[in-house]
Amino acid sequence: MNNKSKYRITFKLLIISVLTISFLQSCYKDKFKLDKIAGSDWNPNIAAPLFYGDLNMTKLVNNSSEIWREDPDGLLSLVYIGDTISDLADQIFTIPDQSIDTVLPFVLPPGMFPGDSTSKYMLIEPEFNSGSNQRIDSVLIKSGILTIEATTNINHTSYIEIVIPQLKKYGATGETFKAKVNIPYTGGSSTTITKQFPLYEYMLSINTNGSTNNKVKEYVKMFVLRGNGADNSPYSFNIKQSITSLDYYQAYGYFHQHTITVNETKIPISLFDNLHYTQIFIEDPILTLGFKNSYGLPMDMTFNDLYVERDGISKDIISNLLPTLSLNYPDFNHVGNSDTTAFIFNKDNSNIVDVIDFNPEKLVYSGTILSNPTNVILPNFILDTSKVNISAELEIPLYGRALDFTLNDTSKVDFSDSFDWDKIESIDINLNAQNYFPVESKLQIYFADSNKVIYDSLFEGVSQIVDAATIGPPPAYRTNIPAHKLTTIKLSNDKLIKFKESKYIIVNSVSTTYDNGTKIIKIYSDYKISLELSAKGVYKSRINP
Amino acid sequence: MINIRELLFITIALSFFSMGNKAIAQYDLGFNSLKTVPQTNLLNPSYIPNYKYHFGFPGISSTLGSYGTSGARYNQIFSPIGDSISLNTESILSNIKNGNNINFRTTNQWLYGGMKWKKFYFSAAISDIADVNSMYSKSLVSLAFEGNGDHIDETIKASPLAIKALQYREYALGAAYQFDDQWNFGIKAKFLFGKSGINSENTDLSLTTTKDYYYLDIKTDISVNTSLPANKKDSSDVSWSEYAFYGSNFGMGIDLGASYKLDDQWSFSASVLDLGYISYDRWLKTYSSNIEFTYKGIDINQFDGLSDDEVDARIEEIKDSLTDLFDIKESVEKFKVPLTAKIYLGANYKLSDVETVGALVRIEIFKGVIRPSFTASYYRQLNKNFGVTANYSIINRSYLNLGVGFVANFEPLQVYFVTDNVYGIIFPNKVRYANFHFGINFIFPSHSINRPMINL
Repeated sequence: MNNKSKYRITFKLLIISVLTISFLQSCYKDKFKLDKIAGSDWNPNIAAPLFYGDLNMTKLVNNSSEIWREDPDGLLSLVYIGDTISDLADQIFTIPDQSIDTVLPFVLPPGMFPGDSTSKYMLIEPEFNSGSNQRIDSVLIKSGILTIEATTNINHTSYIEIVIPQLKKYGATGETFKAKVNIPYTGGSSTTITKQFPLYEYMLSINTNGSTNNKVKEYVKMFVLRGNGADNSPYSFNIKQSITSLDYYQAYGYFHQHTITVNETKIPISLFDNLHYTQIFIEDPILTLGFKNSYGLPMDMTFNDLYVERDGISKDIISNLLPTLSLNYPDFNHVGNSDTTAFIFNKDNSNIVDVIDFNPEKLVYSGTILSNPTNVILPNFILDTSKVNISAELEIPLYGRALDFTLNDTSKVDFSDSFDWDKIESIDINLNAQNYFPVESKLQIYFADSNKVIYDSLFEGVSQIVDAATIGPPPAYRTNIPAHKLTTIKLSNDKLIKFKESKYIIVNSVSTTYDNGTKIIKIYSDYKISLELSAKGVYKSRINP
Repeated sequence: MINIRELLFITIALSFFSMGNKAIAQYDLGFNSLKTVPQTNLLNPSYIPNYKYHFGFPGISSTLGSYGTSGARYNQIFSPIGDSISLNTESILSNIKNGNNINFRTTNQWLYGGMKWKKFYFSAAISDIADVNSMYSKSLVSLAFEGNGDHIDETIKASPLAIKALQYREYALGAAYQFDDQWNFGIKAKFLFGKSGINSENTDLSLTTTKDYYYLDIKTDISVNTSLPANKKDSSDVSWSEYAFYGSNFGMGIDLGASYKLDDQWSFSASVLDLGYISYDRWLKTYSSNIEFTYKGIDINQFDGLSDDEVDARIEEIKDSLTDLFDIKESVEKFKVPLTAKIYLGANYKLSDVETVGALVRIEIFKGVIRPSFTASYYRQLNKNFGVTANYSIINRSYLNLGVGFVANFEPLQVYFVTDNVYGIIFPNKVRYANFHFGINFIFPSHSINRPMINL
C-alpha cells in the first residue's frame, strides 16, 4: 500500500468518525430531550414542628380584662366589683332660709343742733331656724346671702351697723361680721334702704359652750346726724334680715333622720358566661359588702334587693346579717375622713356557696340608707361632700371542682383564599400537651354552613386533648408533675376541604377537673400548660423546570 | 451570591445532565488492550511503544471522555410522558443504593510525543483535564423526594456525600526503562496548574426527626472549598487567557508502573496513577456550616402583646431566621486537593501472534472509597494495518458493558477509537457508563513493519 492509499483510508476513517459523532450527537439530542422536561410530581411526606408555647396563669391574668387576686400561696381568685356612691350630703341635708324682722325705737336727745349726732346700741337675739327636728350648732358657710332691708321714718341722715360676734370669717384673722347700711334722708315720711352681704367662708357658731337655744346675738348700732329738719321723735328703725341660698362646707349639730337612696347596681359575673350543661362548684366564695362613710353620724343600710340572676331567674342572698347593716362613721377627731365597714358573707353565715353554684350572670343590689336610725340625739357633723360609698366585691376563688365546663364559641371564617388546601393529601397533626392544671379537656370543632348548620366535625367523636395533672394532698391540692397527652388528629383531604368550605367554625370545649370532677382542686398562678403542635403530611406539588 | 447548597445542587444537576451532551469516561478500560497506541502509556508508564519516535496530531492526539454513575441511569431518572419527559422520583430511588457516584472526565491532549533511546523511552504531553467525582447517598435523595415523614425517630445522614471537581492543565514527562527481557519500569512526573476547583472537605449532615414532637435535630459539619472565576471580586474581569494560562494553583503528580513478561504467552502489568495534589491559591472561597441545633417550631409566645403590624414584622424576622439557620459562613482559605488516585492491575495472555486476551482490574480511590472495576478484553491484529478489540466490563454496578475499538496504522498515520460500551455510545441515556477515546498519531516504528509493533 502506498502512502497515497494510506492517507486516503485515514481520511475516510476521519470522515466516518466525524459523521458518526455528528449522527450520535443528533441522536443524543433526541434521546435526552432536555428541552422537553415537563416537570414532575413531588409529593413528599413532611414532618415538622409547627408551633409551641406556654399558656400560664400569670400570663392569662396579666392579659385578662377581669380582676384577679392572688393569695400569698399563689391561689387565684376572680373578683367582681361593683361600686355605688350615695347622694352627697348637700343634696340630702339642707339649711332652710332664715328671716327675722326687728323694729327698734329711736328718740333724739333734747338740745341737739343741726350737725350734732347721736347713736344708740341694741342687742337682738334672733333664733336660727335649723329645720325640722334638726339642730345646727355651727356651720361653715360655702355660700349664702344676708340681705338687710332697713326702713326708718327719721327725717335726718342715719345708718345702722350690725355686728354678729357668732359669725366670723373663717381663717386665721377670724374677723367678726359687720354690716353697715347708710340711710340718707331725701324727703318723705320714711326711707328704705336694702343691702346684701355675701357670707361665703364665714363660720356661724350658733350653739356654743353647751347651749342649745339656737340664738344668734346681733349688736345693732343706730346712728343719726341731726339735720335742719324738725325733731319728730320718737322714731323707729324697721330692720328685716334674711339669709338665703345657704350652703355649707361643714355643719355640726344633730341632723335627725334622712333617707338616702342607693340605686340598683348590677355587677356582671363573666366566669359563667357561655356555659352549657356545666356544673361548677366553688368551695369558698366570699361576698364582701364594704361601706366607706364620710358622714359624721350613724347610718344604717337596708337592702331592698340583694340577689344574683341567671337567665332571668334570681336567687336571693340570705344571711343573718341582713337586711340592715349598721355603718361606722368618723368621729369629731376625723372630720373630713371616712370610716369603713365591711360585711363578709361566706359559707358560714350565708347561702353564698349555693348562690355561686347557681352560676350566676350578675349580682344585683339596691336599698336605702337611714341617718341617725335610732333617733337618739348625738353630735353629728356633715360635710357638703359627705357620702357613702358602697362596694360589693364577689370573690370567686379557683378552688372547687367542675363538671363539663363547656365553652362554645362560634366564629365566622373564610379560608377560601388562605391556602391551597388541595395540595395536602392528608395530614396528621400531633398536639403534645404538658399540663400542670388538674383539669382535663375535650375538644370538638364543628364545620357549619352559612346558616350555621353543622355538616361535619374535625374529630370523629369528641377528642380528649389534655389530661389532668394529679393533685397533691389538701389543703394545698397542688400538682407537681404535669400530665402528658399526645393527640394525633388525622385529617384526610376530604376533611380539609370541608374545613376550607366552612363558613362558621363552632368550637366546643368541655373541661372537667381532676378525677372526673369528683375531687377538689385549686388553680395557682404558676400553673401552665405547654402545647406543641407538629404535623406530618403528604404535600402534593409539582416541580416545574 | 452563590451558596453551598446552590453549589451542590448545580454540581449534581450538571452531573446528571452532562451526559446529554458530554458523554465522557475516565476509566478507559478497553483502551488498555490497544497496545499499538502510544497513549496506552498513559495507563501504565512502563509501557514502551515499539516506535522509534512518535508524536500526536496537535489537539486531537488523544481525546477521551467518559461519564459514569453507579446510581440511576438517565432513562431511570426521566420517564417519557407523550413527547416530554418527566422526573421519575420512584424510579430514581429504586435504582440507587446508599452510596452512589457520578463522575465525568474529559482529557484533551494538546501535544504529545515520545521516543526510544537505548533501553529508555521518554514521553511528554500537555493536556487539559476536567475531572469530576462526586458521591451522594440514597438517604439524601430520599429526603429530597420523599421528605422525612417516613423516617420518624430516625437519623437521616447525608453521607456519603462528596464532590471533587477539578479542571487543570497537566504537563507530563515520562520515562520507561526496559530493565531486562521480562521487566519494564516506568515513571511519569506531572506538573499541574489548576484552573478551577471545587472540593468538599467535610460533608457531614444529618437530620433526626424526633418521635411525636417531630423536632428537627440538625447537625452540619460542612466545608466546601472553591476556586472559581466567580469568586473574583469582579468576575467580569476574568478573561479567557487569564483563566486558561494563569500560572497559579500549582500541583504535582506522579504515575508509577511496572510490567512483567512471564513467558511468551503471559504478561502482567501494574500501575499507580495520579498520586499528587493541586494547591489552590486564587479566586478562593470556602463555604462552611458547623451547627448543631434543634428546631422546635415557632414560639407563639413571642407574639404576645404585639399589634397586627408588629406581628407581621415578627413573622418576616422569623422567615429570615429560618433561612439563616444553617449559618453558612464564607471565608477565603487556600486549599490543597489530592488527585483521584487509580490503580491498574492487568494480565494478558497471548493466544497467537495476532491475538491477545487480557484482564484488567482498575481501582479508584475517592474520598477513602474504593471503586473497583473489571474488564476482560480480546485484541486481534487483523492485518498489518488494522487491529480490533472487544471488551467486557463490570463497572458501576453494571454488568452489560460491551466495548469495541480499532486502531488503524498507515504509517506514519495512526488513527484509533475505542469505547468500553457500544450500547452507551448509541443509547447513552440507557447506561450507567459510557466513554470514548480517539486520537490521531504520527508513528515512526524502529523495526520492520512486518513485525509486531509492541512486545510485552
